[in-house]
Amino acid sequence: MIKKYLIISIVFLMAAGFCSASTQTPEGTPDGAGWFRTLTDELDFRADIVGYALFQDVEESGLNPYNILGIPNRRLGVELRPDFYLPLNRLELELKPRATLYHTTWDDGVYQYKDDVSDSDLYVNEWLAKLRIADALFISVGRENLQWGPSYLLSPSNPFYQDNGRNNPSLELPGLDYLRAVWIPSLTWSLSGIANIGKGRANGIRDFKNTYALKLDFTGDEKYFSLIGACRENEKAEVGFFGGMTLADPLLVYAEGSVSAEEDAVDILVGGAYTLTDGSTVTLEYFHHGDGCTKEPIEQCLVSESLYQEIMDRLSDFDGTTDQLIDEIDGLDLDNHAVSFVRKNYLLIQYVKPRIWDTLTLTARWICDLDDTSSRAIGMVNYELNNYFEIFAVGNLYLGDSDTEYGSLLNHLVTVGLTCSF
Amino acid sequence: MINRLCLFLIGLSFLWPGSAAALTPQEILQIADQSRGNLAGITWTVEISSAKKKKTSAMTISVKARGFDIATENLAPPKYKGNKLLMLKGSMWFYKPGLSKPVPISRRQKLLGNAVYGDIAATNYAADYTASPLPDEAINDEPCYKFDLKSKNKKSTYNRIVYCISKERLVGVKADYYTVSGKKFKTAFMEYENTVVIDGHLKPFISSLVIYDELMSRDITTLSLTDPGLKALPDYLFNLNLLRR
Repeated sequence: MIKKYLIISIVFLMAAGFCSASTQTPEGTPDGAGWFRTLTDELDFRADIVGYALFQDVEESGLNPYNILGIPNRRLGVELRPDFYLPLNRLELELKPRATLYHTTWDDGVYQYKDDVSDSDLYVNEWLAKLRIADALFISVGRENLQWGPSYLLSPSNPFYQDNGRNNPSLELPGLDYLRAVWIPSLTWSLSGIANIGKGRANGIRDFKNTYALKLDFTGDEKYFSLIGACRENEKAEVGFFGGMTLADPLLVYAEGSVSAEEDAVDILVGGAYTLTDGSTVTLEYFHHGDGCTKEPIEQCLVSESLYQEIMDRLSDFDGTTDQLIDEIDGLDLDNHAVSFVRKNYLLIQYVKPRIWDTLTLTARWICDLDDTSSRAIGMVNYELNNYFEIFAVGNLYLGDSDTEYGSLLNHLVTVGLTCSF
Repeated sequence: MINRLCLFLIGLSFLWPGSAAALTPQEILQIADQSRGNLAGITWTVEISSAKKKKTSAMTISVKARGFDIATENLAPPKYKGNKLLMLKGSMWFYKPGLSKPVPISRRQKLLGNAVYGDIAATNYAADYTASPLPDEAINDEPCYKFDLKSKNKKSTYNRIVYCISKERLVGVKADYYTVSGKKFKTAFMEYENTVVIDGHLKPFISSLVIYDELMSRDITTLSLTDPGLKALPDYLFNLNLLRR
């Protein structure tokens, strides 16, 4: 049913856009030739080719005994990421297809007996058709990575997808399927109606439900504030918010959070960023997760009783081959991405030194789980070789015992790569 | 030749009775601000080049500005293409392809070389600074008013600026920028070979900003502004929800 609405929306947008664009065709120009000229003149294109190597040292822990989560030790990959943009008067079209090729290797636990996997994928991560009905009213349909808010750690005000991908910028976040309408009555105020009608590329979302939100944005002198009312189908409503202000030119302060009637909990993040005269920036954030878990060890926060029972039923007294065991584990559909911000209190400290010699950007970030005192230290290096090529390296060091949040899955993770833009 | 004629006509336009001679320092600043943006709607292209020792870097940016709000998009080189900047009512947001969302930044953050993001925004010195007259000075043989600008609040990009404004053309031609501790850290020279027509009058518009690092390196950063065009710019161009990613 939803797909039907989606298709109707697309057809409507395309038709409306083409009709409005055709009014711009010079008199006497054949339609076909006019359209071809419009396409070639207006089509905007940019692309990145990202090649990377990822190395992970997996921790043996109660959360991931014998590496049953199947965390790979090495992955080599190449991704082609072209972005197309075509404005047709009132209609704007965007398309972000992706082609990936990767080779994955395991050294730890039961997966060390699994053959290396080489695979490729071709998909559209994002696309968008946006129609300007009037200067103050826009509607759009598409698959987007819809993010907002000022925070680094995560976006607690976002009812659709809170991970903002900051800890590994070389990996793209998945697009989700949205219908959107944006009304802009003035420069100060705007109102958006947003319907998330599909999980799109976000395969990690287990129990997807359609979610509907109204977002009210205010921008005043040196300050901004947004209020988001959201409702997931068959669940109680939640209210999200974010806001920030410039206290002094180098000092920005902000807050972001949500109040959930469904979970009866409040999430709040407060932060600030200070930019020094040399352009480097220090950022500090504190996040309180109202519904966070304080149980120890960490697996008690992540593995439900029913899933634990299922694992025990399927794997105890298992007497098949190693391949069959791996197939059985794969069948459990365990998700190693679930481990993020499950506890109550977090702290982030970050220092960014951008554009050293106009080519080098250094980032140091430390995220601490204040409840079990485990932490994650992240260092990023981006070096621009010339106008087309950039080398990047992201190093993660996980500090904590094997029963803590950051100590339970990995000891370290290193990604190095090369981006070619054209 | 045409440019020189335009500049001559612009100079003449300020020679009517009751013009510069009767203006207060704040009024002179206000007129000078008009040649640095602060118009109802204007677009232009900026080419930025930075020379650091033997290395040069460059980028091209398309700018849309209305009052003190700006929306920019990087056009070149490929590694910067698609980077966007939105400044709305003093709050500045930066986005680049690959980032999951726009991030709030300070106007102090580096753009290229010695240029910071605040340098491509329109100046609002008349509103943000208190001007005290200093002894007049000639810049490149051109008589100038010289003002000591002190920030009225902590939200200005620079704490103190010594600003020279041409007496004849009423445009800012030189600015020395100072740190809070009182050290001069960069100097900028401005040229105005562009023109725009406002209310039937031909007005000079900034064509280049050359920034010298005064503290350590003496590096030079040049912002060349071309193709200024006045046009109505609707609100949606400055809306963060509609920033193309």
